[in-house]
Amino acid sequence: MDATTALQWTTWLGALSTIQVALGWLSQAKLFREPGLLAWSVLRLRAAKRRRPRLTEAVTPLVGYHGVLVQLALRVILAGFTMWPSLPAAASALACTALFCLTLLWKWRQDPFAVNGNDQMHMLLWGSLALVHLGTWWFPDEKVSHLCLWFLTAMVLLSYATGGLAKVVDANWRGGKVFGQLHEVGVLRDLAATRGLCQAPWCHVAAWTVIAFELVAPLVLFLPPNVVVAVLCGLLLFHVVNAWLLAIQDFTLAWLTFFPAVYYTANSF
Amino acid sequence: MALPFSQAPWTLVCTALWSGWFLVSLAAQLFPRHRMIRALRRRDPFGLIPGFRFFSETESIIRIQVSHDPEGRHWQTLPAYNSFSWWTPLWNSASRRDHLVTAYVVGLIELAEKVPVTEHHERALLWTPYAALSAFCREQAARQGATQVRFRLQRAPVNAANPSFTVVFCSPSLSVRETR
Repeated sequence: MDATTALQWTTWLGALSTIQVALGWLSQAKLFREPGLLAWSVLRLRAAKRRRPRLTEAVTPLVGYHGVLVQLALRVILAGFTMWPSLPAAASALACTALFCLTLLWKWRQDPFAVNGNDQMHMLLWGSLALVHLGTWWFPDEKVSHLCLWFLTAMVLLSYATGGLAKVVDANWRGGKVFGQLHEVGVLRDLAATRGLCQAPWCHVAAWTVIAFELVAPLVLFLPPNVVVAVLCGLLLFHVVNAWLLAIQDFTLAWLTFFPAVYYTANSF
Repeated sequence: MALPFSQAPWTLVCTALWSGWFLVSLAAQLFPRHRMIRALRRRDPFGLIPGFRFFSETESIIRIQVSHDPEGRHWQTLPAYNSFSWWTPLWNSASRRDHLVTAYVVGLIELAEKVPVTEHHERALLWTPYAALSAFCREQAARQGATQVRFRLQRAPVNAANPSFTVVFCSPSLSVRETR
């Protein structure tokens, strides 16, 4: 896989992930309407305290009920636009820059209660792709694509390693209690298998498997290509199972977006 | 393997940007409580510095119970995410509301505990979950045909330093009280 192909796959998967997330929020538009949980009249309390009140007033049309619906629709349209084959560099650059700005505006509005991991990954993705396409437009240089894929790989592997490190210092994860607690409060899907996960010795096995999987993920860079594919398939399965058991569906595609970059970078080594 | 560096100015700009972004992100994951990282996060309203500590903050695991009688005698535990199905990995938009309620409840519990949500969020921030949940309670009460809904929010016991406690959140009186 060359850098152009890897970037193309990254763009397609990222666009699909962005569309999935934006459509998901659009289907829950009532949350943004008064007196929904994400109504601007509530969130602006935080914004007015943290930032200049005049600035908050100025951006209200952009982030109020209608503004946020327009933002989400724009994200769907622009993400679909980036999937178009053989798009001119200028159009790609403008679309990716707009998606990056929209992601930042979304994060600013929703922070900290409704910002998810997928928003962070979209920010990294569209920001990096904007730099690549701006480069292609203004200063054509193939090396920027390589650097972009390296950066995306570094960030996604950092996300796994951080998750593993944070869990390994947590007594509940080390002691295998976390699945029991998640099941007790209804976060974990109620199945015979998950009830089994809450009891020894399976709770320890499952907790340490997750920790080990996340901690060793960065080592994928030093593995042969065939093994890299197997590890990436394992990581995909890990995300699908998480999404199925924990109702965190947006994470799967958002992380899958970075896998072409990981495959490319691992092969480069 | 040769490093793909060149003297092209755009390559240098990108190299500097991506290197800086990665190094700051790495430092923020390794030393989240360092004063320089906290200062950087305070000056980062768009969240350019990511946080990757997913599902490791087990103190955020809470139980939400609801009672429709004014005395709060019969409590019923609300399922955290009430929509599981085979297509959940791809599409489960209804879970967004449940995730939000959980996030606000965690904020409210932290208000009762009088500690900041995270290092970089001011105390004033915590009025946001309070206001959001009050609207949510009113909506729930109206839907159930009740005049008052009580929410009991209970954090799962974690360890001796972090005992379990309960916050009772009544609508429409909007009072928060805690019982340890």
